[in-house]
Amino acid sequence: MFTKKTKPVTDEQLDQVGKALVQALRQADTASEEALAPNAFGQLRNRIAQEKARREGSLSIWEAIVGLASQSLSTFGLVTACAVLLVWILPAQTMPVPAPSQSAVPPVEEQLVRLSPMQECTISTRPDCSVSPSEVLTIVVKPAR
Amino acid sequence: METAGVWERVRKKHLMPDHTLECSDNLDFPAEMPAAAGELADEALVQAVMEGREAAFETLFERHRRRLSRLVGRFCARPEKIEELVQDIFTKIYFGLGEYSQRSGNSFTAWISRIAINSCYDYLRYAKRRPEQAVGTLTAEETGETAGMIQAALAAPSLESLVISQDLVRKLLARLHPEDQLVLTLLDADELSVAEIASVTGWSESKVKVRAFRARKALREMLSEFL
Repeated sequence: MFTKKTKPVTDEQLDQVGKALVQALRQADTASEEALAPNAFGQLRNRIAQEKARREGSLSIWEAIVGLASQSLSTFGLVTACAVLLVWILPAQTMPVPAPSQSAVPPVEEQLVRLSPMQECTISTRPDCSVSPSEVLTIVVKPAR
Repeated sequence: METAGVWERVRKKHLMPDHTLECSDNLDFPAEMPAAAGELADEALVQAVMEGREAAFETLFERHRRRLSRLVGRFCARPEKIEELVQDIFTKIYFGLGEYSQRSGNSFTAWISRIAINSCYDYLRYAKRRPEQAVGTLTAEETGETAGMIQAALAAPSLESLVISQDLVRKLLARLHPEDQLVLTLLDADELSVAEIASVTGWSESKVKVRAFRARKALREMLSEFL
């Protein structure tokens, strides 16, 4: 019935508490200063030496890669130059390729022999056919011997 | 952005004491290891390291190790992790000296602080991604303790008198986004201005403002959960 009214907390109050909490981090300053070991510089020197060695190692790897790449490039360039020279020089030296001679084409009679009689008739009736209709007639109606 | 002016203000806040040949430059703020008359300035030591005198780097290390440890300790609780991070930062500094020496007009302290803060930010992101590196979640007992701590803070007339558990604060802050953690720590623990944080982190001022606003909102919401 009667509840205790709690006083609402304002944003300003929360900000002040938050600020006080963050400022409390300063209390650890002395402990932080003492976190470093007495021989801290010796450890740092070792660490720097390791880092130096690592960087030099990675540098030498890079140098090797760059050297290999430059060698590869020069080899590739040489091969390309040779290929280009071959393309330019060879056509001049090679014999001209002869045009396909008429003799390569089998005579009409041989071509006709390979065809069926119906195909022969069809070809022969074309106007551009070199076989005359009378020759066709002779071939088709050739008396059996 | 006037970087030189910003860093002058940062130095005046005793956060980043610079080491120069002139002692009068260091009189108005306590340097952790002030450069006495006759001691070389940071820039001269950098030059010596660049010329091959490795002992000069030890002097630089001894000069700045405490300040950098304090800075790292804001983000990391474990002493072995603090040591590892500080060594990592000094290794980066060593290998970056060539780059630094080529740039003129930059304060050495400002330069190493930037390296340190970036390393801390990287660590926060790394810890967020890997639960085994995180501070850990709150146990039921710690949740009760945290609620009590927050209520005591709200009721206390002055927040300075409060005894606040470091572990609980770290666990609470670890629940925030790494950028929020960084901005809140630099704003509230180191008391840097928005311009100074922008200069240190390399972010724009508007990004710092937006991040600060979001970080405060997130922290507020998180604290409300315990009420």
